[in-house]
Amino acid sequence: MSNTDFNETALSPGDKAIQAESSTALPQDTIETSRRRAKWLAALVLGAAISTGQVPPFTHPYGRRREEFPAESSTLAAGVDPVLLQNVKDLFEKGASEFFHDGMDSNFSRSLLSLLGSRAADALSAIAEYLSGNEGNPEVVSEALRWVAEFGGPDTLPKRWSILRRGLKSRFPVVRDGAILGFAALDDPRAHSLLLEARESEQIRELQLLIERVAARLEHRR
Amino acid sequence: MVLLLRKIKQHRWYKELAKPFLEADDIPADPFGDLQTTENLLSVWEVHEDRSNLVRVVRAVAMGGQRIDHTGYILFDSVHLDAAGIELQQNEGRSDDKGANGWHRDLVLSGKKLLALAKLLLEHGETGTITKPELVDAVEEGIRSGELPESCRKKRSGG
Repeated sequence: MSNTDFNETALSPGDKAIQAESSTALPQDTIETSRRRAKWLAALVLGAAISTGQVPPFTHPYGRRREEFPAESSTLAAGVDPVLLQNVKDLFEKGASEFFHDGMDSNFSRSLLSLLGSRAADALSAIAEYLSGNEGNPEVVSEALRWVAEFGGPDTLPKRWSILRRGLKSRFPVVRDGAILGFAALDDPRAHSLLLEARESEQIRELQLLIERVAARLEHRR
Repeated sequence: MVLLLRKIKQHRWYKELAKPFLEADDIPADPFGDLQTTENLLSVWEVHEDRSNLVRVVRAVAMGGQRIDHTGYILFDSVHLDAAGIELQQNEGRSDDKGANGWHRDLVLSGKKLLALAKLLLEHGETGTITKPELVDAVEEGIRSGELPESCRKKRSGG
């Protein structure tokens, strides 16, 4: 541990604000000693708990399940417009009352395309963030993945790719179906290995065959 | 053997998910969403035993949508219809592929027969999906060969 670990420059702006505003602020050396002790004690307790198997070693800090669309990086959530996020949530919730058919537009698809048309990159970030919270009707999410895949040019491809890739790992077969078809629509040979990987863990026979069909086409295009 | 094809959304028909229902002598409700009748008729298409016209039939069905999209289907042997007492009528299709329209059929259904059909499809049907890029290629090929009119190109690009 370096000597600067707990000096003032290491304090967060929030810590500094609390220090500055409190008339009963403790002396700096007392704070530092207290922090070292607390950190040591926390490490000791956590280590003991892990060794006895009482807590899983890699629990999400907020106790929130994120197996669906786990956030790829902390930068994904950063900068998502909360109003846009609410719009996405409303859109997906309304979509749950619709019945989707292949090849047919829906109120959901029209609204989704309108949102993507006006705020492409921001909307994709908001959709990714929304999906990272395990929310959404699986059928609506599946439908969204099919539309998201095809919207926009190379500039938004990394975001769309990331959303689809997470969809492949969903516990809902219908969401995985949407993700596979999304990759099929992209028709990009770079998805080949990703799909083969998904094929390994896929349990639904129909989805296994669909992955094989899409992968075979991509293999042929390489 | 005469194979019949019905357009569906494939995920509503996963056998693994239907298995517990079938074991309880019941069926899931979701597949009924793909069995909408008009005047007690359900549109199906005949597919050759060697399946050589499968993609062409799916293409004809897909062209009935607003745009070319991934299209799911369920395929089953018409022999099962007899046991369920379901009549098959040969009615000309109305797709853009005039040469395919002769393969169109209608199943004559009642409520009970619809239930029996759903059950036999879940037990004996085989589902699949032809992806959008495959259909786009098939439409392009159809236009080139004259099976489809030039106007189909608009749907190919989603317009």
